[in-house]
Amino acid sequence: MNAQPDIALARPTPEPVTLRRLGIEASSRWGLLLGPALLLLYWSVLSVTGFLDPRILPAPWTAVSTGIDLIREGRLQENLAVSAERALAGLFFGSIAGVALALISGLSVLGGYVVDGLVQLKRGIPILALIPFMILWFGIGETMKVTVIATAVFFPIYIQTHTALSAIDVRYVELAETLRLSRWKFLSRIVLPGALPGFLTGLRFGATAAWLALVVVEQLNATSGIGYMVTLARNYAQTDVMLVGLVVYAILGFGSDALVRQIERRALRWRRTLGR
Amino acid sequence: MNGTAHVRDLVRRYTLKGVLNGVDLDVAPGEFVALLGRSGSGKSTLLRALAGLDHEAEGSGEVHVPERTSVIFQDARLLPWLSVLDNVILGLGRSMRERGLATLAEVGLARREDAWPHELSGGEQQRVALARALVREPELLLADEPFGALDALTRTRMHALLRRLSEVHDPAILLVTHDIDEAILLADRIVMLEDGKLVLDLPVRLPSAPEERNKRAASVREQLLERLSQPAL
Repeated sequence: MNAQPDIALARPTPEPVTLRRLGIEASSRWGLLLGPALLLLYWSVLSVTGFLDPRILPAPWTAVSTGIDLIREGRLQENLAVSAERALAGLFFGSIAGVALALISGLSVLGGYVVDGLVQLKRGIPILALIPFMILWFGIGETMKVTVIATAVFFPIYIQTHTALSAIDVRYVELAETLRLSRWKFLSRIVLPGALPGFLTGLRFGATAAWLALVVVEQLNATSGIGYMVTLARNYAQTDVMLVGLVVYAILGFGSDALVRQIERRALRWRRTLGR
Repeated sequence: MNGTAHVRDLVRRYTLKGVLNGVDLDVAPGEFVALLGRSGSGKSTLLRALAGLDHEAEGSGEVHVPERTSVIFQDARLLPWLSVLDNVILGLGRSMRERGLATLAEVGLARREDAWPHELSGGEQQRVALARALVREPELLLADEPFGALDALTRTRMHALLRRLSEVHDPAILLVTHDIDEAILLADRIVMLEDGKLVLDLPVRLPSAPEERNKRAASVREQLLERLSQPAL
């Protein structure tokens, strides 16, 4: 009995080997909208079926119509402009300070000791706990508001920029030395581009932190801004106006994050990474 | 004090790696010197001393290199965020664009100036590094195993390229390598480093007639192997 030929015949033709893909596929530009769209759908269904009491959470279309009314009255854009100005001013000053101090502490030993130590110390104190002191020092006007926002923005920017800067490959520093680059060229061609990915990550966190701080300072004491609009609406139990305020915050947060991501894509074209 | 590069009684100590114990070396203008040695013999330490990269090292002695000295590392060491051309003319200013383009053409990378480094193969990246070194018109070119990370075929091509370009630009070259055949093929003179001392200084002088050339190469090879096989003193 000879089973050999049968086995040979039964052997399946080898299938082409395909490796399992570990990297993710190229992502679509609008893919990020999928999550929010699903949430909106869920919310609409709950509102239509009456599961959601409009006094607790109004329907999405109520938010839209109230938003249109507020725009027609001019209140929304007026308050939005004030809020945006505060947030941008805070983002601007916070970013400048974050990058400047990251450079100082990353590029000089003494600077590192002084600045980094201080920053680590301050990290333990929540920014909101500083607000009473900020009011004491800067009053209750715009200076205090912008300072609180700038402080909130400063930390993520500083930490991310500093981390990226410290991670710059020492081989590039050697290269700069053998090419006899000037201090300025070293900074502009090696240090800053090397720290840019970190800075942009910090900017994304910083933008979120800016809106968060904005909400807090505008609800504390203000006579204008989205936060003021929401606080006022709460006093009159206008849930629809409160909701418009929330939606505006959400759009601002999402929009600023998308904007920074877009900048990231542009500025970091040279990278080959998993997530693009 | 004649000669392009000049080293006298150089001593270097590191806590972890590389020691030099009184090295004397001269490289004349336009001369191609290969520096051979086993790993750990101190050849990279010597090259780093010449390149001025040994800030932290303890030691004594005298090192003199010309003002225009270029270094090629084992890795191409291109900045990933700069285009190929900007890597070549890094630190020289936009006015060097034309010369950068011409040098890229010389190393066979014409029309790749706008590529990102990661878009190039390993051999191409090393050619960009060569262009970056040559565009500065160096009087001395220091190369630390520049072809060590390349495959054999690419390495052979790079040898031919380096030979051709060294004839055109005529810098003095100090090539650190552990490849005996590479040293014989490229260099005018071979020096060997062992335990931080130069133990051999051998002119190559390959004749142009193929038969004589092979004979001479074989004899140099034999001498080098013999020296390498001797136990360290």
